[in-house]
Formats: sequence, structure tokens, C-alpha cells
Amino acid sequence: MVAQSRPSLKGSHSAANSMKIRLKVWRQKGPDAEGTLVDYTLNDVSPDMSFLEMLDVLNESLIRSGKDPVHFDSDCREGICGSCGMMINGKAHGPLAGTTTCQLHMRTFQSGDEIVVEPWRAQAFPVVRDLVIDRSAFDRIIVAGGFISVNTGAAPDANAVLVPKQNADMAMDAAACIACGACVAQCKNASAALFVGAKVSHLALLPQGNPERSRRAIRMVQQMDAEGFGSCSNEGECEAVCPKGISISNIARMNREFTKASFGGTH
Amino acid sequence: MAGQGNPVPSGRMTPYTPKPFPTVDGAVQHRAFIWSSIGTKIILAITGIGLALFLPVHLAGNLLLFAGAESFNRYAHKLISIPVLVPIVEIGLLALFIIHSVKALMNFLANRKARPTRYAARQWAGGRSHKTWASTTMIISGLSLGAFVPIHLIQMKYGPYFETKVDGETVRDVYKVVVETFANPLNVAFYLFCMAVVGMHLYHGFASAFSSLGVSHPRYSPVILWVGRLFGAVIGLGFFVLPIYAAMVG
Ligand code: FES
Repeated sequence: MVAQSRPSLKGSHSAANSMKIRLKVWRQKGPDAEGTLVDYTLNDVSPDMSFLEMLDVLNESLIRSGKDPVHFDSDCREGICGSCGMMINGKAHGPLAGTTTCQLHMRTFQSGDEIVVEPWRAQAFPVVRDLVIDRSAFDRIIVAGGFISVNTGAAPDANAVLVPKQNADMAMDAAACIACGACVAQCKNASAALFVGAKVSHLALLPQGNPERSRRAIRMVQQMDAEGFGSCSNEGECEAVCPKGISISNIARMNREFTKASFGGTH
Repeated sequence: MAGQGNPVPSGRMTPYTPKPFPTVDGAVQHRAFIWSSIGTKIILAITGIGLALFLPVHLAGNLLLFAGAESFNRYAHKLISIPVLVPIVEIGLLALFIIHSVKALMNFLANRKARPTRYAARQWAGGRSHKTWASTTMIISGLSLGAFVPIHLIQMKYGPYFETKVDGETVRDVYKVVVETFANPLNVAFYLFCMAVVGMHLYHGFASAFSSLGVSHPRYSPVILWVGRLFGAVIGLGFFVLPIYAAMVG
């Protein structure tokens, strides 16, 4: 039916490799409304579509038939903004490692597959509508300590602030975090340890982050706890689904930073 | 094409009000270190390692069962005759046990609260994750051990009192207690189950404790992980043979 009303889409791929996808999508009118999984069938999905494009096609047909489209977040659609996360068949961002939902392509699935799509589930990430969740708990954690003090105006000479190569690499790896929340979504405890660990590590490893180092560790962890995230069971599920491959060694570093700061840091 | 199956719930969208922003320095209640999520895990790690270290000592002593009644009873008598150290270790272990149990239970409940709605579909991440059945059942294995330890103490330490003579001295015949306990196949089954559980608990717990303590190294962390798993397997298997042997002797 999609193909009949969208000839342009049909032209983009041959009928031979078009896929039939059966979806079960979480629909929820609002934060306090009851939600439920709703079945949809798409008969003409191109393997070259991204997962979000497949949902776009679904939404266009829903809109045309006067129904409420499936609400979901997306922005860059190139795997760098972190807004597009959803639980696909019980795995954050779907079956591929190191991939955001927007970078996941339908060729990863088989024609005839059933795909269950749910929002991130965490007490700290309330559902706004359908697949859209409120991730501002992350923002509040960043506000709590994810900053450094700089003198504006006279920039220091680049060679005056020395950063060991290893630290620069590790800080850069931690800074790759796009705050998508997949770590929280996948963790059985809905723990934000990988996210906060990455943010604490990123700045703790650099000389620029040193003035607020212990204050940062304390405040970000306190805010994380206050938001109602769980604790870390060291299973490493977060690392395995992280689209940026952030290492759980950052959690260990956060634990060290927090402990050091708790016993004798200035904060 | 769309909309087969359940109908979309109808009605107006309820307005969404995010939490006040920001909350730092104002509304955020600072928890003391021991009540923070990380502090909790560090306490669990330290108490857990303490309890785990007792197990090889306990196992080594118990393996003297194989040396026969006299050696076993002599060892048991010498052990409980050590002044000062024994009560201190006993009280220490009890404290570790209680702190570990209470903290673990509170941590479990807080973690449950962090995910009030469960997923309809759930998959393990695979790949670099080291989630195992042991790691997902820590609370179940922990609760089982929480029940096992008092039962074990009642059956053995505070169990029936028999006397025997070793080197001319009258001592408690603990060997007989062990053999009589495991004459009952129900006890054998119960102990075997619990020893498998202790092995599983350590299989994840040992290495996890080091991660909680902030130990992380590209080369040594995988080693710690496997040493922990081996430790769990060795302790579990070691204790596993004792009830079987005692039942065979009895
Ligand atoms: S939309 Fe930006 S990461 Fe997917």
C-alpha cells in the first residue's frame, strides 16, 4: 500500500529486494498516559533505508490515513548528536555494535522479521511521548560539574600546557560520548555510570580540568544519584552497546576520582 | 497498511513538565560517601573480598576430611583453641556478612527503582559485554547464601555434640557431625546446590569487586576477570566434593 501511494519510493529499489517488516512500536500519548505496543506492517521497505527512514515511511502513511505518527527524536542522522536512541528488539540502538539507530540500515534485518521498538526505560528518563524520552537528567549532570574554568581573552601559548600523549588519547576517547543514553537503556540497573564516567574522565585527564577535579567528581556523582539512576554491576553491557565504544575503564576512573575526592579533595 | 492490531490509545497528550533546571547546589541532597551509589559498591567490594578470602582458608581446613577422623578433629580442636584470634575473626566475618547483605539488598532495591518499567523485548548486548548468568543472578545467589550460612552454622558449629579422644585429649568429634549430617541425602542435595551457588556468586563477584574499587588496566583487567572466574570455579568445586565424600564415608 505504501508503494502504491509512493511511486517515487518504489522506484528507488527493485521490488525483488524490498522487505516486509512487521513492527511492534511502543505508543504512549503522554508522560502519564498508559502505553502499549502497536503492530504495524510495512510491505515495501528498502534494505538501503536507515531505521529512522523506515519509521519516516511508516509515519507518512499514518499521517495520510489521518492517524497520529510515531513520535521519535532525531537530529543529525549521521551518528553524532545522540538524539535518536531507541530499544530495537531489546538492544539499545539495535543489533549492530558501534552504531546509532540513525546509522542502522534495514539490510541488517531479514524480510519478514518482527521488530519490537521501545523507548529507553529508566526512572530518570521519563517517556514524553511514544519513543521520545526526556534526557535532561544528563544535562543536569553536566551542569553539576561538566565544565572547566578558563580565562577569556589571553589564550595560553599552546606549548605552555603540556598534555601527555596517552592522556590526550584517553581524554579524546572519553570525549567521544554523545550522551545518547544507550548505556542507561541497556544496563539492568539503568545506571548512568558509563556516561558520567566518560564525562568525569574526559576532564580529569586534562590539565584544563584540574582546578575543579574533585568538586566535579563529587557533584556529578551526587547529581547522578539524585536523578535516580542505578549503580554499576560491572557487567559491561553499556560498553558493548555504546555507539562510540566508550570503555568501562572510565567507570573505574570515576570510582577512583570520586573516592579520592570524598576523602580529602576540595569541593 | 498501518494500524493492525491494538488501536493507538486516544485522547489528548498530557502536557509535559520537565524537572526544575538546574538543581545543583539547591535541591540536590548530597549523600554521604557510604550512601552514594559508588560508595555502596565500594563497600560491597571490600566486604565481598573479605568474605571471599575466608573461603579458601575454610576449604583448606575442610579438605582434611580426606585425611580421616583423627586429623580432622585434631585440626578442628587446634583451630578453635587459638585464643583471641578466633573470636575476632568470627565477629569480623559476621560484621562483613551483615554489612554486605544489607548493602546488597538496599542496592538491589534502588536499582529496581531505577527501572520501574521493564522492556517487552530484552536481549543481552554480547560482544565486549561480560554479562553472564552468574552476573544477572547475584541477588538470587546472594539471598541463597544469606539463608545457607545460618543453616550451615546451626548444623555444624552449633550442631550435635559428640566427644572423641585425640592424642589422649577429649575433643569434639566434628568429623562425626559432618558424616551424620551428610547421611541425609536431603542435606547433601542442599549443600551441593549452595556450593554451586557460591561458585556462581564468586564467578562474577570477585572480578566485579576489583572494578568497583577502580582497578582497571588494559592488560590486567581481563586477567583479573578470568582469575575471578577460576576462583569461583575452584571454590565451588572444592566444596562440592566434601558432602559427596562425607556421604560415601557415612
Ligand atoms: S540522529 Fe544524531 S545520532 Fe542519530
